[in-house]
Amino acid sequence: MDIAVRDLAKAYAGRDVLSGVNFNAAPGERLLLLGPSGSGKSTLLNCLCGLQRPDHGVVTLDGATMVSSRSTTAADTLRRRHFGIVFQTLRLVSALSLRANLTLAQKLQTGSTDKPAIDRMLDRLGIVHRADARPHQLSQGEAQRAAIARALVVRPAILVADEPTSALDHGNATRVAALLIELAEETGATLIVATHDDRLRPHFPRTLTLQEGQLAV
Amino acid sequence: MIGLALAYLRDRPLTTALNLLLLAIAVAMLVLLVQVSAQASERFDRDAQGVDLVVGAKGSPLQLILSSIFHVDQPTGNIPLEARIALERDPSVARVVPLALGDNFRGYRIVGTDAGFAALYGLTTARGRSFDAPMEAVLGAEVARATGAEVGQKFIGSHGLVEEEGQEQGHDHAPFTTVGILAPTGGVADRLILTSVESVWQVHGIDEHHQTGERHEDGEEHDHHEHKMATGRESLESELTALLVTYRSAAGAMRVPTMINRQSALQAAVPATETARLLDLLGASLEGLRVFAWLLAATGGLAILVALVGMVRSREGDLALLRVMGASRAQVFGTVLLEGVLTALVGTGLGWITAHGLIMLARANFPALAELGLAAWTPLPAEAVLAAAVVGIGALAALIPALAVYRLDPARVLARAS
Ligand SMILES: Nc1ncnc2c1ncn2[C@@H]1O[C@H](COP(=O)(O)OP(=O)(O)OP(=O)(O)O)[C@@H](O)[C@H]1O
Ligand SMILES: [Mg+2]
Repeated sequence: MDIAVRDLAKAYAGRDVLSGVNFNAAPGERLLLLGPSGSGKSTLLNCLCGLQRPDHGVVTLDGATMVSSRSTTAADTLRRRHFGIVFQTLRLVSALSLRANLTLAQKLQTGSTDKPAIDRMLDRLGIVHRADARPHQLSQGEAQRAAIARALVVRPAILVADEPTSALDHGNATRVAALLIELAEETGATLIVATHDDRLRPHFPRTLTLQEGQLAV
Repeated sequence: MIGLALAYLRDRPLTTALNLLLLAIAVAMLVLLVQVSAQASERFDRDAQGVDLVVGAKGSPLQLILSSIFHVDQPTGNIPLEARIALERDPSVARVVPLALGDNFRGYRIVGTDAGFAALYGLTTARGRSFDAPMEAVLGAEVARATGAEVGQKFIGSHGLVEEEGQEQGHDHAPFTTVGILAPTGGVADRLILTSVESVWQVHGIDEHHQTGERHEDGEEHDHHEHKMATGRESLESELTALLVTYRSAAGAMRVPTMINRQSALQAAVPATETARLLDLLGASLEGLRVFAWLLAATGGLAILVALVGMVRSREGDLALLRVMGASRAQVFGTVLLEGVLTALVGTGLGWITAHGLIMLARANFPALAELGLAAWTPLPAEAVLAAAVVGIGALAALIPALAVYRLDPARVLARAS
């Protein structure tokens, strides 16, 4: 799906965090969003997914408005249908096992469940043996991969990841990043990753850097 | 969403168990109270139906009613036959049913009466026929079931209302013959053995001669009895224990009790008044328990509220994630509400089962309770109302945290978390 971000602006208590952000992402494109801590990467991604309402500007999917300063109601449906989101810390629903988390994600986002696909996805990420473990029983690396599995098991057209590797050591970070890219390629999903971690730069053909509320290409 | 609500409940087993326990105890108490008062009053009404007035010997009116209508207490004494004749002559009296009490068979009271008793309670025989000749008896359904007695069998009554262990006072010289078994009524008649007044007299007339040390309140040997003896016969009179009176007209209620109470040996007791008094007594003692039980239920609701508020706070991240995954506001709201309602439902169910299980146990261990008419598994409309109220408490308790979840802004939670 074609994503277009137009003139996006967001301020917190009069302080501009985003001011006039513009970019496009073509279907299947891989995009890295870089910027120092506090530069507004999370804010930008949240607005992109319709989790936050911008003060100004729009986000369109294939030309249709998904997010605007007026409303994010259209965003709820579109996000459910087309987005897989990996957060830095919120990875899984704590009361449910890993497998149940994936089942719930499928049920909520696609309306049906596909058990073989869940096992295949867990196997693909090397955590199928932990399928019945609860989130708190997983290691950091396992939990991060589980979050990716949760986001991808619904076969989203767009995969958004906010700091997917910041909690991981170097080895795990590169492994998780490589997996994200691999899986996005396999499923043909557009991949947008936000990070302050420069080490990921070589894996992405295109990098956007957030500076003082604007993108420096 | 039910699965998710259950998962959260299972996630904090101690809190959930505690909340369930609180609600279950409250519901069990409430159900027991409802059952006891409802079944008592229903039983009272059924057994007192058609009886406008009970005439018996002077004493406690409550005891007179208990002994002659519910058959659970000793009679107040005996009354002369003339009382019956006088009442039957009264134009405002439709029916007078005589009762001659005193003996039991294996704890089931033998009632000397006439055909009017069957008419009063609408009794029909399931097998055999009604009693006719002296020493013929008809067994209530429960008596027949418990003793395994059949038509044609003979049995011997023993003295008193309840049979005592090793009792040596059986009237073994005067056996009764079972000629019929009554169809079950659900009333007191199920646990009675009916015979003619003459049969009761006959048993005791003889008794008087055999067991000189024993005092008998009623007894006159029947004139035609083969064991008739001369000794002491003249001193015995044919007596009755009580009379069940049905009025023909409302005027009876004005005149008859006054007329009876004027006679020094007699008293008239109105079943409706006495049962109302009994229910009042029961009600007053149950009221305190009822208040306590509702307080307990409210505490259960409060416990759910506290648990869910804590849950919502600690699970904010989860709930935000659910929203991100596409759960609507209504869905996350529903999950939290469902947790409260599920807890209340299960607690109510447990309490209900406990209460009825207790009733069943009590019935099995104390036959006297079965006598009182406590049925184990009959749900009452009041119980449905009660269950709905307790589930309502659960829902109400869950509403506040559920609303907090409804208003939850996932972005703010995400911002805080990352
Ligand atoms: N809800 C909020 N209210 C007020 N200020 C906020 C809020 N959320 C974010 N900010 C501020 O907006 C700025 C951008 O925050 P954001 O989380 O988007 O940065 P980031 O680039 O993702 O940083 P990091 O790399 O540390 O995750 C920060 O200065 C932050 O303090
Ligand atoms: Mg961030």
